[in-house]
Formats: sequence, structure tokens, C-alpha cells
Amino acid sequence: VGLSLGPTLLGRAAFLAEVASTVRRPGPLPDDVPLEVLGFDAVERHLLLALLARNGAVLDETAAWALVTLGDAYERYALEAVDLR
Amino acid sequence: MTVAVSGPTRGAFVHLRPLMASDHEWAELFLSTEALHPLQPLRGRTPSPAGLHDALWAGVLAQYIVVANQTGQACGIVRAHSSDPQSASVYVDVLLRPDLAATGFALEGWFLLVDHLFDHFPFRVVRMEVPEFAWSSFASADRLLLVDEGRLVEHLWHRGRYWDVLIRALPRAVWEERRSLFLPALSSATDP
Repeated sequence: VGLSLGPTLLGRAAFLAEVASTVRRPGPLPDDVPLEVLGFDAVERHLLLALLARNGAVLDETAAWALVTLGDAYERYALEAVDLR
Repeated sequence: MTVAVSGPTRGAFVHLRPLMASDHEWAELFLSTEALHPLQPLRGRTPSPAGLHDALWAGVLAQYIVVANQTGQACGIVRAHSSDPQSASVYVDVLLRPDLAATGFALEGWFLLVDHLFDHFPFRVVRMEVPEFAWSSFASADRLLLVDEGRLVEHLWHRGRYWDVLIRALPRAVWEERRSLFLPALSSATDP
């Protein structure tokens, strides 16, 4: 659904493989997910998407929706990778 | 005629397309949606056709539709207005579809506009005035990017009460330090 992850990125962290499998899973958009409970706001989520894009991901709107539903594992990786806190 | 969009107005997720006269009806419908109608430029109004032109363009320096790269979907409008050469400052409004803003996807349009402004004009600072009720989804920008310059207390009436309007600034030096984090296409284009 618009996410292309290169082999280097997939090899860097196990959770990114989970990202790929989740995004590629067919199904309806997760539009009923209460985004605010995930702990990140829109600006932080943009930084996370930017991080993935910098590592080769090609993201569309659907992939972005899927990514923000991953929650805690996504957050932990991002906080280590984007050292702004 | 097809015009290829490249350079600073194209990011990893979205690109900026100038708002044109043929977009006015769409813009009015879009800006009248529930989440955006209380904000600038309409502030709850549905102007006359002549008034719509003024509402969309009065004081505007640059105005773009944010378009998704993969699907061509319009994600929102970003605009720069009220530029002041004496203080070398300009204000921006960010008006995005709430779902695409919440994921962070469409926010790239905001950052592309900021980059365009600092690239083409000698501004020292880009400012935003945002009603308090519209800021919670973007609050981490206070820590990551923006300077708190205060608030206009109980300045805006919305849904039965007065709300503060927050004033936020993005100095050029801060943007130049952090732009590659927020615009991944920039960093990939400049990486060796």
C-alpha cells in the first residue's frame, strides 16, 4: 500500500519488519484508532515518518495511517533514533 | 500543460502547488469544513464570491495547496501572509485535513512552506498565531522547533467561550539547524 522498505532498513531493527508486514496487510483503513492514546502528537509523528523516509521508505497516506497504529514499539525505536528528547 | 514540481516545494510525502483562481470554490468548501472553519482566513464566515477573493488573498505572500505525492490527493492549504520588511517577519497559516495532519503525513506541507520562505526572502522569523483549541495536536513543536512568544488572552470566541490565541515563532537559525530532520527529501538530496 505504498510502503517500500529496503533490505538495509529491514535488517536494522526487528520492529521495522513488523512495520512492513502491518502496512502490507490488506484491510480497511484504521480510521477508528484514537490517535491521541498513542502518546505522540502530529509533529512527532511527522518526525518518525521523516526518519523512515530518510531510510528509504516511500510513504503514502494509507501507509502513514498504518504506521501510527503501531504504538509503543514504534515510539521506542523513534526515541532512540531521533535524539531530541 | 504539465508542470513538473521539483526543488524545495517537493518533499518526500507531499508537494506544494500554487493556489489558483480555479481552486477558489474548492478552497471555500475545504476551509468551511468543521475543523478549519473557525480558523483564518474564514473565521466562521462564508464570504460572498467577491469577498472570498479578499479572504483568500488579502496580505498573502505565498499560498499553496498541499498535494500528496503518491495519490495526488489535496491534503490542505498552507499560506504565508502579513509579511513585514522592517521586522523581517511573516506569518503562516497551516490548514490541513485533520486525519492527514494527525498522522504527521501532511505536516510536511508546513515545513516545505517554511523552507520556501527562508529560501526566497530574508526573513529572520516565521510566526504563527494559533487558537488554543487547535494546538494540542501540535504541542510538541514547542519543544522541537518553535519559540513561545506569548498569547493573546481570551482573544477568540469559539463554541461558547473565549479562547487564548498562542503566538509561536520559528527563527531562521533554528530552522537551518533542524530542517533536514523535518524534510527528509532535503537530507537525502544532499547526502553524499
